[in-house]
Formats: sequence, structure tokens, C-alpha cells
Amino acid sequence: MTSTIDHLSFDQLCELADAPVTVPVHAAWRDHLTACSECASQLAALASLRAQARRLPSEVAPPPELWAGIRAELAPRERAHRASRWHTSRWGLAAAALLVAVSSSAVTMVALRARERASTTAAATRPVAATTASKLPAHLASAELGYARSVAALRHTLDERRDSLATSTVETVERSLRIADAAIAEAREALERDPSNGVLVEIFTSNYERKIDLLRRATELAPRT
Amino acid sequence: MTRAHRYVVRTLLVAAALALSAAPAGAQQKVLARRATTPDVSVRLFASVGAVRVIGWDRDSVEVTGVVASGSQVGGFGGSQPAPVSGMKFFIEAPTEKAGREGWLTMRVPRNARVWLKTGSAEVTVSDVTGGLDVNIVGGSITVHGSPRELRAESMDGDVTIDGAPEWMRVKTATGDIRLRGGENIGASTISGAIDAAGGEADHLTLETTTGTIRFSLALARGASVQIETHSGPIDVQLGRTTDVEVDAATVTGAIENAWTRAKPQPGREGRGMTLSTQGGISSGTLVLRSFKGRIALRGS
Repeated sequence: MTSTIDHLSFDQLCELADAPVTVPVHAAWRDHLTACSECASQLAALASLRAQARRLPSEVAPPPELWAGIRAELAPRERAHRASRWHTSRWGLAAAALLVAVSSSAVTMVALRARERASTTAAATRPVAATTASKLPAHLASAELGYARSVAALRHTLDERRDSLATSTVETVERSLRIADAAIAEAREALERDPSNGVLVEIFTSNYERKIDLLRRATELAPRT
Repeated sequence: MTRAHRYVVRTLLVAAALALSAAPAGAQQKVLARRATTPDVSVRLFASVGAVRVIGWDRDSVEVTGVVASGSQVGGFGGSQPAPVSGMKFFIEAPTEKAGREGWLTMRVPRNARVWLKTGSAEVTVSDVTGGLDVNIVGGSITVHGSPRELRAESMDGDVTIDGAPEWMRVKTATGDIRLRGGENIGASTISGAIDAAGGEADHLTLETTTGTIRFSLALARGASVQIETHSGPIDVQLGRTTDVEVDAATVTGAIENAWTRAKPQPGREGRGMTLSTQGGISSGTLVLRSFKGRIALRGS
């Protein structure tokens, strides 16, 4: 089913990169690789990435200054609010989600760099922080900037894969992103008026995390689904 | 040749003859493949079909049967080594998006297998798998009967129903509804779908929506930790009158109604939103409820 014009999808290339040589894989994919230098080079890049990833440590501790900053921010709030347990886990999750999202996006972008093309919709969903002067406290503005970078990277990847997805799927994703964006904007506006409201901070970061997670999942959908 | 060897050879022949070259039969083609495996085999299945059933059974083998759209590419199935395999991949790729919604597939796996399943808009039903389960769909639905040790289920607009109590579970949708019965370490998140948690017991549980409704009526394990959050969806919580739990509820602008105890919700910061706090006993659980503008309602049962 795959021609030299259609190219192998990212999932198919990953499948090939993951498969041991003893495992039979789709013959048409192998045939395509022999005729398409672009896909062959991307498979080589993925295989190299896989080998490098295998050499990475299984756990990576966040920089000490990150946790110091988070703890410093949380300390006064813990005294003021009984909800600190929830809040603490939120910030930990936010940092972890950010780290994972940025790493994942970077890997995906490297693998697909050869197929980059102009994005038509990225501008439409550009994060609020990138277009307006932030009125949030420095720590929240910084966090939002990190979220915005993750969103932009994932959005770019999604736009590249848009043509390979079913129209109904794209509509579902876009509709959900609009809902997430509206919630983020609403929480952000409230946070500008009341920046020390711990409940608002939790909801603001949760809204961003759900949006980033939705984008990540959308970028991982199989072609034609 | 021992009986076991004969079985392995026979299954390999079936797999080779039918799985890898599944012959067309009219508008659809049949699929039949079997393979000896370890009891905890890892199985990856990518299937563009209309319905997938995964059934855990008491045999150390994997069997795939079904009918798929004509012209579908069928492949994989664990290589050609005669010994039982500990990992295998199987895929069915339909020629078109429409064809990918046709046909059905039934995969039987050892109960303790780890199963990874990715499909488009299929009705996925899983039963009696006690190992690991990772199901990813776009539309259709996911229904899991039984309690896998680890369960990850993700969909876009497909509904997800978990009729069991996994040790660890994460469910995510965009617009699909989520129904669950609790478990030990549970997380469910959706943008606009509804979450309904009822009929079981919660230990460590987190439920999140952006606009979707959240209904919670699970019993609480001793020392349970439950966190429920929404941006604008209503949260309805039903607790036993004698449930020992410390409630911490807060909204930014939404209302809080308490018909569970006599505690009165208080105005929130600067008169906006509301808060409600109740004390529990020494070994009580905690229930944290957060909402931007959705209503939070607590009821007794």
C-alpha cells in the first residue's frame, strides 16, 4: 500500500526501528525503504536515536535549583492553605510533564525534520503568553513560558501530521483544544487579578497539562485514524 | 519429535500460511494465527478493524482469529523460532480509512500477558486479562472486564468503561465519557467527557475534567486519598453518612452545596467562590475538590 510518494509514517518507521532483524515485518515497508532514500535516512536516524537512548540513564534527576525554586514558592502557601498536598503534587507534576513534553517533542522533531513544511494553523493557537505582556508573577510567567514552548513544539508536529489523520479526528482534537484554550484563558485572566490564589494556580496548571497531554496524544495517532 | 514440538510446528505452519498471506474470501478475508508463548508474553497488536476482542485464557499461547477487509495487510506474529516467544507483534493495516472500520478480530492471550493494542475507531472489549493492558483508540469504545494489574486506556472521542478494579490505571479521553469502579491507584482525565466513578472502592484516585461532569459515589478505603478537579464541569459527590473522610472543597467562582453533613460552605477569597472543610478521624481519608466555576455538590447516601 505504500509507494515511494506516500512515504512511511512515523509509526511505521518506529515499528521498523524497534523490530529485531529476526522478526518479519511488512514486506512493502522494506521494499519502500530500498527505493526511498528519505525514509531510509530517517530510519537510520531513528535507529541511531534508539541506540543513544539505550545508553541514557534510566532516571534523570531535575536540576537542584528547580526544586529549590518550587519549594521556595510552595512554602508560604503551605502555611496558608490546607490544600498544600494537592498543590505540591501539582507543581511536581507540572515540572515532570514539562520535562517529558519538551523531551518528547524534541525527539519527534528531530526524527521528522526532513519533512518540515509551513504550518498554517500554529499562529492561530499561539499561546497567550507569547502574544501579550505577562501580568502574572514571575514564577508563573516562567512556568507558562515553558508550557507555551511545549505547546508550540507539539502543535508543529501535529500540523505536520494533519493530512495523515481522518477529518473527524482532526475536528475532535481541534474542538477539544479550543475548549482547553478557553479554560486556560479564563483561569489566566482570573490569576492576573488574584495571583496568590492557590486554587487558581492548581486549575491553571491543570488546564495546561491537559492541553499538552491532548496534543501529545494527537501527535501519536496512527495514520488514517 | 515430542508432542510439544509437534504442536509448535503445527501452529507455526498455521501462522505462516494464514496470518502472513491471509487469502481473500469475497469482500473480506479471514485471519487465523496461533503461536506458543511464555505465560507473561508481551503482545503488540495494531489493527485497523471495526471490533477487537481480547480474551485472557489459561493457555500459554496466543491465537488471533477474525475477518478483516479485503486487501488488508496482515503481518508480524513473533518470528519463526519454534520455542515459545516472550514477545510478539501483529498488525492488520486496512487499505483505506473506511475499510479500517470493517471486520472483527478476536485475540486470545495468556491471562498474565502484557497487551498493547492500538486501533482507529474500533469497539474494543477486553476480558480476563490480569497482566498489563495498554489500549489506544480514536473513536469507537473501550470496555474492560476484570482487573488488569496495570491498565492504560486512551481515546479521543471513544467512551471508556472499566468494569473492574485495577491496581494501577490511567484513562484519558478528549470528548469520550469514562466509567470506572475504582481501584488502588487510579487516574482519569478528560477535556469534555463525563467521568462516572461508581460501584466500587477508591484508594488513591484522581479525576479531572475541563468542562465534563464528574460523578463520584465510590466507597473509600481506609486512609483513601481522592482528588477531584474541574474547570467548569459540575462535581457531584455521594458519600456514606458515616464515611470517615476529611473534605477540602474550594471553588474560584462556583457554588458549593453540602447535603452530606451540617457543615456550611463559606464564601471564598474576597467574597468570590466558596470553600468547605470538614474534619475526619485519626485514620480518615482525604477528599479534595477543586473547581473554577463548576458547582460542587455533596450528598449523603
